[in-house]
Formats: sequence, structure tokens, C-alpha cells
Amino acid sequence: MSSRIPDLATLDDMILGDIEHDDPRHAEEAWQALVRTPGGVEAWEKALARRKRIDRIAALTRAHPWLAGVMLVLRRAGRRMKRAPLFAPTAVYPPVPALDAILDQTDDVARPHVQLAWGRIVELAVPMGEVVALEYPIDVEATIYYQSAQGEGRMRPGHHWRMEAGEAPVLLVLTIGGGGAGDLSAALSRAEACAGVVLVVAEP
Amino acid sequence: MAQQSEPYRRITDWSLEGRRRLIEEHGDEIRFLLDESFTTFAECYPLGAFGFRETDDPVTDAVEFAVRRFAEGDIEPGKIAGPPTLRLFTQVRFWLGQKVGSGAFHEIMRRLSRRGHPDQVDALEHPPADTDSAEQAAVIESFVADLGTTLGGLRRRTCADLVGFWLHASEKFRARVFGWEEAGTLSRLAQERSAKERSLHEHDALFRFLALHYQYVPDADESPASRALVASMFASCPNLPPRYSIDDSVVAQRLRDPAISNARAAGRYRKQGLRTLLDACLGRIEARDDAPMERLSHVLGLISLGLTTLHAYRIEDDMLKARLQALPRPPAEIAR
Repeated sequence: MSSRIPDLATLDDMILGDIEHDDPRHAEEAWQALVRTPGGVEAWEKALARRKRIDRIAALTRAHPWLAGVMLVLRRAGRRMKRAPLFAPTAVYPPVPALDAILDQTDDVARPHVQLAWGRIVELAVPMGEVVALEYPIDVEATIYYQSAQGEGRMRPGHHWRMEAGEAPVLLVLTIGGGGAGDLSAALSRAEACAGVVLVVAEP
Repeated sequence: MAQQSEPYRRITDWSLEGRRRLIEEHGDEIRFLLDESFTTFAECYPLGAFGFRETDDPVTDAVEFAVRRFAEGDIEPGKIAGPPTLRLFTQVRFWLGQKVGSGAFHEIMRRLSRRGHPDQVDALEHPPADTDSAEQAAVIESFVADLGTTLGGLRRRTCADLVGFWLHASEKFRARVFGWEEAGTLSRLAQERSAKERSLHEHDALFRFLALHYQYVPDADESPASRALVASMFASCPNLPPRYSIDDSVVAQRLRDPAISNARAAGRYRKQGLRTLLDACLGRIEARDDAPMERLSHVLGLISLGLTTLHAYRIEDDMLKARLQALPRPPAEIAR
């Protein structure tokens, strides 16, 4: 007899504890499939990670509603992309000194980082006072915008972001082909590609 | 233990007017939650299968459908599982069910799943090892049904992390019983913990599952110890380590039982209830029954209990320790 791991949406309802309420018969099948089918551990873990992520983002957007609006615009702009660039930028702290980067003399110590995803927004927890850089190939013409509850703007080339008290969350968005627009909304409406990272304060 | 703050706004007014006002006031937040959820779903399954446009932007199409449905449709809060909060806008299954009906949702998902789940490994590639008889096959099927029911019960009576720990801890056992190769990779949840923490959580999950499987979890009304145990360890709890249970102080508040008037009393009764439950589970394993179903349950018991079970609950009891040490070791191919 064959069985298949429950689909993503059903797994999410199982994780939430809702599935029996909505659909008792299929709930039974779903739990049995999870028990008897190889791959159940990974499928559950991935579904759990997705649920925890959206809960974290929901808490952020509840506390900072402005973030929801701009993230929605970025997501829709991302779906209009014809083709994603071949590289993915990285948000990292602390940044590598510029000369070291050019001379390819980065040290071997792993720095906390997250790889951005085109058309999506990722999160990075940063300790207060740390400096964050968005790293991408040196020959790429990109513009980085920032937005927080305190304001928004365009970052000067080579400029990095220092996490200061009271600022988080901070959204950094890298755009390609935005034509050097003055603000993030205009840039997103024109960009060929965009990727964002939300900086939150890391718990001590 | 830190309590999670609620990430989702409550929906307090379910009238048509109330729902429209909610969308006016929190439309960006609602749309973003829907967008995030539908995007994740659409990475694995085509939204076009549910009637959303495949060209252009089916995610936005799905988002706007859900918003319109919420604003104008017949949605009764009493029929929605879970809390009446904006979390509803992260539940793709609910909205796809609103679009095509829940029966059609399952049919469509069955059809799409035949094309392969991202994590699917076809169980038929590794036929069960020792089930060449109809009787054995029937025993296995019955055991699957039992385990499935218990796992659903574990989720309802604890939290999602514990289900993950149980799945990981029991993988070798299930692979052997159902005849597939276990992946042997460390789950992400497990990677986030030290080896010692992992082991404690897995033993916790294994024990609670076993107690439910054996149907030994007491009725809450039997005694103060039963009440404290059930209210703490067999009640839906926050998905928070290290204990994955309801705090003793909260148990004391909730029960309003003169015998369990404070956190200390709740903790004392909880441990008493735990010892009784552990004693019952050990008794079942020690009184080995050779009927086929019982053999499977017996082996499940052997992999589920050990000295680490006592460590997980900080129980110091020489008698229980001796009995655990006296248990036969499970077969090597399924030993953890």
C-alpha cells in the first residue's frame, strides 16, 4: 500500500493543531501517512520552520504595520522580475574592509550572515552596535535603500548600516535597474530585480 | 519560562461591517500575510489548479480572492478552528477550501501530490520486510492506525516541536517496522540543540507518546496528582523549550484546586503523577504479551524508556531506575 506525506497546507494545519476540527477523516489519513512514510521527519521540520517564520514575521508586522506595506510592494515587484540575477547578495556583519575584499584577503572567521533571495525578504538578527553590509559582486550596479519607522532613504555607495537603539526593525533593499530613484517605492516600481533583509535586534 | 506574545491581532467583530472595517484598517498586514503564505504554497503547487490565473500573478489573484471572500462571504467564526485572529490569513488550506470546497481541495491535492511532494520518498520502493502474510499486513495496518491516532493526540495535548522530536527519535523503529531506509540525517530542530538537550527532549516526547499510546494518561479527575500531571504535560502548551509544558504556577491558577494552591504544590503533584504513569508504562512492558500487536507496542516501549527519561524529568527514584536498567535492550537495528 502506498502513502504520501501530507501536502504543505495540510502539514501546516497539523502543526497548528487545527486539522481535526476542519476535517476529521482526512486528519486521520494525514497522521497515519506521516507515521508510515519515509521523509516525514524532514517534511515536519520544514513545515514547522515555515510556520515559525511566518509567526515571527506576523509579530513584526503587527508591531510595525509600515513594514507590511513595503514588504508587500517588494514581493509584488519581485514577481514582475523577468529573470533573477545569477548572484545573490549577502547581508553580513561586520563588513570586510574594502581593501581586503578587493585583494581577496578576507579572514577565515565565519561572520554571521544571511543570503538574500530575489523578490523576497529575509531576516537577520544583529546585535546592537554591529555594522551590517550588503555584499554583492563589485561590477554590479546596485542601489541600497533603507526604511525604518524613523525614515527612509537611499544609502550612499559603500555605506553600511549600524544597528542603533530604538531603530529596529530596519529594512534594507537592494535594487538593480531602479534608475537611481530617490525613494524605495519609486525604485521598486522600476527595478529589474530587488531583494530585501529585515534587521532585528539579536537577543543577548 | 518566557511566554510567547501573541503575534496576531484578534478579530473581534465578525459582522460584514466589522470585517470590512478590519480590511480597511489592516489591509496591508492582511495582504502581506496572505501573500507570504500563498507564495510558499505556490513554490510547490500551481495555484492555477485551484482556478487562479497561471499567467500574470496568481499569488496576487489568490490574495485578493481571500480578501474579497473575507469582506463579503459567509464566514462564521464558530466554524473556524483555532483562535479568531489574523492567523486565519496564513492558513492556505482554509482559503483554498473557500475557493473550491474542502472536498475538491483534497482531490486536487491528491492529483498534484502524485507528481511528487518535495520531501516525498516513495514507500513502495522499499517493500516491508516481514509482511509476506495477510495477517502480518493487517497487524501492521492496525499499528499504523494506532500510531497515527496517538501522534495526532500528542500534537493536541502538547505542541508541534514534541511531534518533531518523536518523529526523529522513532525513525529507526518505524523504518524497521514499515520496511524503509531511514534517512539518518539530523533534523533542523535537532541541530538547534546540543546533543544532551536533544536527547532529553526526545525522551520526553517518546514517553508522552508512549503513555498516550498505552492509554495510560489518567482522567484529570482521578486525583490531585492526575490533575496536575494532565494540566501540565498533557494539555496544549506553548511551543517553547526547555519544558514544553504548562508552567506549575499557571497550572495552580487554572485548576483552582484547594490541594494545588501554588506552583510548589503543582510541581510536587505533577512529579507524583509522573512517577505513577512511568510505573504503569513500565508494568506494561515488563508484562510482555506475545500477541503480534502487543509485540510491536512492547518494542515501542523498549525504545521509548530509559534512564534518560528520569533525567528529563529530574526524577530520582532508585526503584524506577532499577526497573529501567533491567529492561531488555531493543534490537540493535532499531536501538537509538
